[in-house]
Amino acid sequence: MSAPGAGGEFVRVVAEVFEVDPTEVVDGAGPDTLAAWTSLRHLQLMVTLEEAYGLSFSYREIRDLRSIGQVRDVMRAKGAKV
Amino acid sequence: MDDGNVLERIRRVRAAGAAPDPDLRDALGRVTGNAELAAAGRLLEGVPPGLITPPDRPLRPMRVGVTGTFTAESVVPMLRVLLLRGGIAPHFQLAGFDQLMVQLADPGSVLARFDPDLTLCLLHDGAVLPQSWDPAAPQALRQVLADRLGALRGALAGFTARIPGTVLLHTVPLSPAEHRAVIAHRSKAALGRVWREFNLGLLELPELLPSVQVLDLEALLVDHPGPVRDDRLYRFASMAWTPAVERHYAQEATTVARAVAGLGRKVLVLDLDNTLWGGVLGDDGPDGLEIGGGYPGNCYTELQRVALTLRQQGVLLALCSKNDPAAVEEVFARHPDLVLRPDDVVARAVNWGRKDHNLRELSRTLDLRLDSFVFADDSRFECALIRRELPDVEVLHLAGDPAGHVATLLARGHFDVLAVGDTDRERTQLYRARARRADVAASFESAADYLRDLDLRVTIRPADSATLLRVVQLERRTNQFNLAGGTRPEARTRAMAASANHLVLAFTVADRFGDEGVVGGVWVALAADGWEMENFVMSCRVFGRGIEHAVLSAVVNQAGRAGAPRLSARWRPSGRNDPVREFLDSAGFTRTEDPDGGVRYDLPLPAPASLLPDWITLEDPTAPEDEGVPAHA
Repeated sequence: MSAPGAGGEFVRVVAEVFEVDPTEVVDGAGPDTLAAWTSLRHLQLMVTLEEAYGLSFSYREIRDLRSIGQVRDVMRAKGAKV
Repeated sequence: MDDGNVLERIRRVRAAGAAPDPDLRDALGRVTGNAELAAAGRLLEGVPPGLITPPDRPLRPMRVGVTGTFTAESVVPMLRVLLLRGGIAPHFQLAGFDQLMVQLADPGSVLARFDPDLTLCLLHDGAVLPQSWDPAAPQALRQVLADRLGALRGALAGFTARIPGTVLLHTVPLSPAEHRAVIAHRSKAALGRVWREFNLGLLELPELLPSVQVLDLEALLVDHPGPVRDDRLYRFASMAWTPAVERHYAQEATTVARAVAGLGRKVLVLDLDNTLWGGVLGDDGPDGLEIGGGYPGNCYTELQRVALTLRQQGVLLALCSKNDPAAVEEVFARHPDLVLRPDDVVARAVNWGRKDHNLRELSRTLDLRLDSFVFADDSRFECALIRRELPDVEVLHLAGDPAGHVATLLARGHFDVLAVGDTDRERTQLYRARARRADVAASFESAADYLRDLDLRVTIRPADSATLLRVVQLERRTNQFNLAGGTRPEARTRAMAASANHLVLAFTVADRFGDEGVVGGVWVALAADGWEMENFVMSCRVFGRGIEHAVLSAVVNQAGRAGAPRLSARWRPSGRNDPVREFLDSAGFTRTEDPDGGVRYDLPLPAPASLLPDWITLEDPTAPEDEGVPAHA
């Protein structure tokens, strides 16, 4: 289903939180395009990624991240291979 | 284990018209991470419970209402998984953020109309403390908290008068930030006192309102790793608990739900060797057992003390051990350090038979279903057997340091009930009188299916520098499966191993869980008129898997290849070594009684039939068919 490798794992985790098909997890996807991306799910996404990748988001990051691409960029800046 | 696999399986049963996956309910126990647990719970929403459990193990439906003073939605998916795993099919009704007082007080509220069997009320300190208060005047704070408690009590009185179900509250931990904001130590103490008075008031609620239960969450979180609150989540979304605390709460709430549903476990079945005491009775003798005194004996004393405490609250204790019943009786009658006495035990299955059959028998004897049983054993083999054969039984593997065994036994509240009464305290006597018999007999039918799945491999090779000392030790330590009943000096074994007229064999066992290492040895004298096994020794840890048959078959084959006309053995009674005699009696030898009480066994070679069980792979480097295995140097 998902591509092998680190990026595939990221897509799998995100798809699991939103209960969507991994093909819907594209960089442009955000609260406006994914119906499941509610504020509560957003937090669940943050804590799930924190647990899966052993990193931590700041309050501002949690507040401001509005798309898969942005989440990816911030995680890459923290050293995660996503 | 493979969490992804469990999630994948849930996804499959979610699909329309999906085939049932009856083992999925038990597989949910393998989901480890908090995020995975939440994901599994979200995926399981709407999945018909009948798809994930076998038809003969239906789940108990339960209407569960959830309300709180904070955003508690994310507790629900975790609860769903844990309840399903615990035998309950929940139907949830969630009342949104900060709805608690309204939901309880309003007769027409969403929760009141839902009529829950169990209503979970989640509280946090921020909803209890006023926005600001004067640290110099704790009296004023005391009054505010008393008023809030009074309001809660009033709302609960109304709710419980209207709704027959159980309501679960919990004590509330105070954020350390509140404590630190007060700088005077005298005032910190005053704050602590006022806060505890509020929690004390919560803990008193069940005395006033019988259908209210209160989890002492503040106490339960004492050994919880990590903070209660993640300030980012709290400030962003009013989530007062970290995912780890949500999970902790969900686990505790699940034990309450099981108690409400009458699903609390009633019977604790304990193994003996290395479970109730340290050491192996059959090998170390009653005086060699580790119990009482200092470490590690005191760990076993503590386990027995806890078992006794459970007994006093109505849990039935039963024994299931591969041991000689007379020797066990002797220990229970005479050992000075034992905490448990024979009367504390309702039934015993002390024999050399299969433990799954013994548990079935105990269930019949006590007339209690297997889903009320907890089985505690140090053996990975026995635990895996029970998990596989009797999935209703809760299996506790007491592995590793015995200091941790009590925590393993108690961690998940398996025996929790809502209240204990006089009849509970007398339950052991009651069941002892009612049981058809206190001792359960052995069944020796082999667990062939299970053993086949284990992928058992027995390797037998001449003892070498790496294994000789271990074989000498085993001969010294082993009593049950020891032909000679006596032992020889290490030098003698060394001489035999080096001699052309003798053979000292060591055998190891491995299965798909791992390697047991060297578990026994065979001492053979080689003569032209036949081979004689001077001794055959095997650790009783590995009884009941057909390993002795595999080893004997290897010796028979080696003797046959060497041209020996027969294989013989002499059994000398030691008072403890009946198991090895019973094995030889069943192995096709001719039997001659010695005048001194011993038995001589003879098997003409070549033997008519192979003794090798079909579930064991025998690796014998001396055998010609094992060409891939390097020959012994």
